[in-house]
Amino acid sequence: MSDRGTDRRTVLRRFGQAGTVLAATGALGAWGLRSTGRFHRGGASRVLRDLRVPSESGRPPIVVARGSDAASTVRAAVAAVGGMERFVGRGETVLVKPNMAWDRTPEQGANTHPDVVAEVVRQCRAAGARRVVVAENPVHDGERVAERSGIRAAVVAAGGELVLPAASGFEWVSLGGSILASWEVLSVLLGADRLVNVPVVKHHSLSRMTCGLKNHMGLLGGSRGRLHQDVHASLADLAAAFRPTLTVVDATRVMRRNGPTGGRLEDVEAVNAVAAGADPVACDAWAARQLGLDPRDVGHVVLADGRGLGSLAAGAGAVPEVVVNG
Amino acid sequence: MAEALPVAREAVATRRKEPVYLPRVFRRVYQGFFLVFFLATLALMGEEGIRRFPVKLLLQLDPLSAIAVLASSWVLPAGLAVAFAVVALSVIFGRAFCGWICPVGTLHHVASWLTRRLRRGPHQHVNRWRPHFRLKYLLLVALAVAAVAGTLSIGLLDPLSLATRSFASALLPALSAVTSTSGQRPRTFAGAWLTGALFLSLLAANRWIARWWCRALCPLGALLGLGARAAVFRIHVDPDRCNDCHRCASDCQGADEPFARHRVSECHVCLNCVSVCPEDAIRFRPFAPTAAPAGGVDLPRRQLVGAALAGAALLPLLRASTAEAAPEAIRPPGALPEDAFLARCIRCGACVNACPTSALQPSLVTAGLEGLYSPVLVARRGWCEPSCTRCGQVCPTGAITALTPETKGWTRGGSGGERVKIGTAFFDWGRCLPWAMATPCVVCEEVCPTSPKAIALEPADAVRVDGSVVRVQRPRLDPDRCVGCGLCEAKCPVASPAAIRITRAGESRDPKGGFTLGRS
Amino acid sequence: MAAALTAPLVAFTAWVIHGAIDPDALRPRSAARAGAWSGLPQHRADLPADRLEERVDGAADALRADGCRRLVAWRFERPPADAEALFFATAQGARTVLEREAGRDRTPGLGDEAQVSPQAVYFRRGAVLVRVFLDPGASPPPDELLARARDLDRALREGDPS
Repeated sequence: MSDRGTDRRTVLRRFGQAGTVLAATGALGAWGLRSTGRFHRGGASRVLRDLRVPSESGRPPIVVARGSDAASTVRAAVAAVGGMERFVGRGETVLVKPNMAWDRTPEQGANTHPDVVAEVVRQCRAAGARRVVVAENPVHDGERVAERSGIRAAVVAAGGELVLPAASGFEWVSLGGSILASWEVLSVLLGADRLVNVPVVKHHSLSRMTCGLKNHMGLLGGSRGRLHQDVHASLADLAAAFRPTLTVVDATRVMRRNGPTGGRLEDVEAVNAVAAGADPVACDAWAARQLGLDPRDVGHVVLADGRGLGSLAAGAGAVPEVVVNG
Repeated sequence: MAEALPVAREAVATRRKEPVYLPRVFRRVYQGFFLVFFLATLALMGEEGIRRFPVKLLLQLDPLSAIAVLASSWVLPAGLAVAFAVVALSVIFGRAFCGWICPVGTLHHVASWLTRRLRRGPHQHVNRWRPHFRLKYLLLVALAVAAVAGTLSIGLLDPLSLATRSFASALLPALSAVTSTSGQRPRTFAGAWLTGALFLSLLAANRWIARWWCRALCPLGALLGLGARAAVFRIHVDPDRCNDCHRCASDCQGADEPFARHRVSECHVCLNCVSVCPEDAIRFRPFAPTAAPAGGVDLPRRQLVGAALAGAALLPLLRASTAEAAPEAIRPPGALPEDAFLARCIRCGACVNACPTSALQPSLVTAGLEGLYSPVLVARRGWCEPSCTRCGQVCPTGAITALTPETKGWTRGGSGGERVKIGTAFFDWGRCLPWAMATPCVVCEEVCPTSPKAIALEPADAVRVDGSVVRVQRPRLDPDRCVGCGLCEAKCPVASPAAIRITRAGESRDPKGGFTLGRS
Repeated sequence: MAAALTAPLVAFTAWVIHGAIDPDALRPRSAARAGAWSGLPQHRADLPADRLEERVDGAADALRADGCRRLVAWRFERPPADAEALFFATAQGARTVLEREAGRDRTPGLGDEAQVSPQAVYFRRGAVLVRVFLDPGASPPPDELLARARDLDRALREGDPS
């Protein structure tokens, strides 16, 4: 302690340190006062784009193909509505949405048949799509479902990608419905240029049937079981929000009873038909008939028709058919 | 220099009469003032008190809370900006906050004064600096890293938070339980014995080492100590006058060893040394030259890194055990969504103190280890008063946003408008008197405060055990009208557990929390 | 130096006491003052027709039927009282509600027509009906309630700040 009195260098250094601390604290505080925080779920919900193609005069709203080989039947049905090139452009990203929600084998008829899914993927690729993504938010465990339904193997062999929610994640999307204002939706949908809905036809204990409109629930995350509290109005909201480019209905085998989960092979009947069309309401109306229902008795189909989302009558009446031989 | 002890005796004998050292007198005045202010703020957290008095000021002045909230949630709530004044204070005057303002410091100072005779020993040993006093810096580093990761466990050790929590939920209720007249039900809080025992144990540590909390554990003290290294005003010992008697150490509060290498980061600016020095060699002055390299405590890098790693590991370990907050962890109305809530709640217990019905309780296990001492609503102990918004008004960090009766929405009738929902009531029909025991009871429907009521009654005939038929009214719940206030559970005559119970299902602060469709 | 050390404590105490006496003065200035009616404290509610329930609950339908389009509510401290201004589509609507609630007796000297009693003051100015209710149990100096009613009348004549 030899220094007496003030050492000027020490004073300056002391001031410098003090000043630095004050400046740093002040700057940090100023930033904090203006920051919105890391947990702020900021921004408005995303809005969905319209993924439909312009309608063409002369194109039937729905066509049915019948044949025992799933792949050729799908080919025939899609060709009859104009071919996949009418719906998928070169370089586009297509989201193919099958029903892949249940831990069941293909014979049990709870999911879309893997051959149907594979053919749709092949068609999209042939039409020039850069990327064909097959996605679903399953009810049962995703990995098991992907394996046992046979869809993962089929999709990969056809040149597509299978994306489960763990990889995709969800984003809040504004749905603007009468009941559903916004909900979490699979992120892959927001990156897609086209949506091809590939449902399977089944009886449903609550909504009477499940086909294309009900299949949209697979795009949702969160606690979507709540939709069952007002299922028909909720499905109509989903139909208004998600307008698929093309619907390909898997009616190769139909679950007549104990849907949507099923399990008994006796409940599944081979119908060997595939319907395709840009009109999702017509597709669902036709599917209702395959289950022996009058489409006018199915609430969500009637509501969707009432909102102008498609034509119930087009599917309820005579529908052009193509028979595939061999 | 002469021998220490003989000179000490001489120094006492020849000491001239010292004039009263005014700043030390003022220090005591400030300490008393802020201790009284602190206790007053706890007592004044009623409706009028919140309107008229700055009841959260001490918590808002706390720079540790400010920095921790900033680190964990990346927001600085506007009220906490006043903490900058304390930072400025410590950069100019050193740890004056510890010695002059902090009520915990004052309490420990008093405790150490009361037990001073039990800590006999030679001057230079009594208040020497011990290596384990470094612990508070390591705790600061560990908990600061944990805060960056997103958990505010630092609030458990912050002294103002600790004091508010301990007095509000343990010490003051214990006092009122002893002094209250019969018929007046004292407030009870979960874990009061533990909270109170912890606080009193820390005070008891003064029996061995004076102000042990302040010296060894307090992370706020550590933070201010870091700032104090640049202090403009500091203790300076004039080497020509000092005779090494070490009397300055006899009442030193900070254990900063003014007689040796003075550690300015430990000095509480109590000014006892200035007052007691018989040679008048010590001054508290600006621009004092540094006595030796640095003015603080050396912190071995190994220990710092270890502390940082421990802090970084804390959050994943806490979160690994709970995937989702427990259903009974009902948060106060206005609380932020859970992740953001835990990143802003400093566990101070001000809301617990302010709640008029003692519905808010400090969570011990309900909200998991990460939610320790965060507030949860326990409907059996109290209920959420429909028109009351005190918890949000006293929350210093905005973990509970301040509502108004209009934005809370529980006092207006009709079905229009948004309202806050903290949970939903669920009937346990096997325990409910009209449902299970053929006994009339309509208490839950009577007390339900929503308009229209969330509980509706349907008449039915119930058959008693003896075969007679009784007309009862059976309650049913409309989950969309229920706001989760807990009045039904609080008043339900069936106990342990009640026949209607609240869980946080359906809370409005979580966009995914609803279980009914309503308008999503 | 004693002065320098005493000053912060004195200033702090003065600030706390000042806040205790007049809490409204310390309320942050931000958006609170914007839109206050001239000479009146900040209103507590400003509701359009479809949200009247939030203030008047069951009476909302009846008020709407008479043409009520808007409700603005205030809270006074001296005397402790609640005040509401109901804006109707027509003066006749306001008159109808006034008669229904306050009867036929009129007190001259306030608004277009008024009824003044110790507990409540009603008056109509154009198509606006104002009612001021003293808190039960309060006993203010005479005419204090009427003075608040006059403040409301003046503010209404000066016009809507929004």
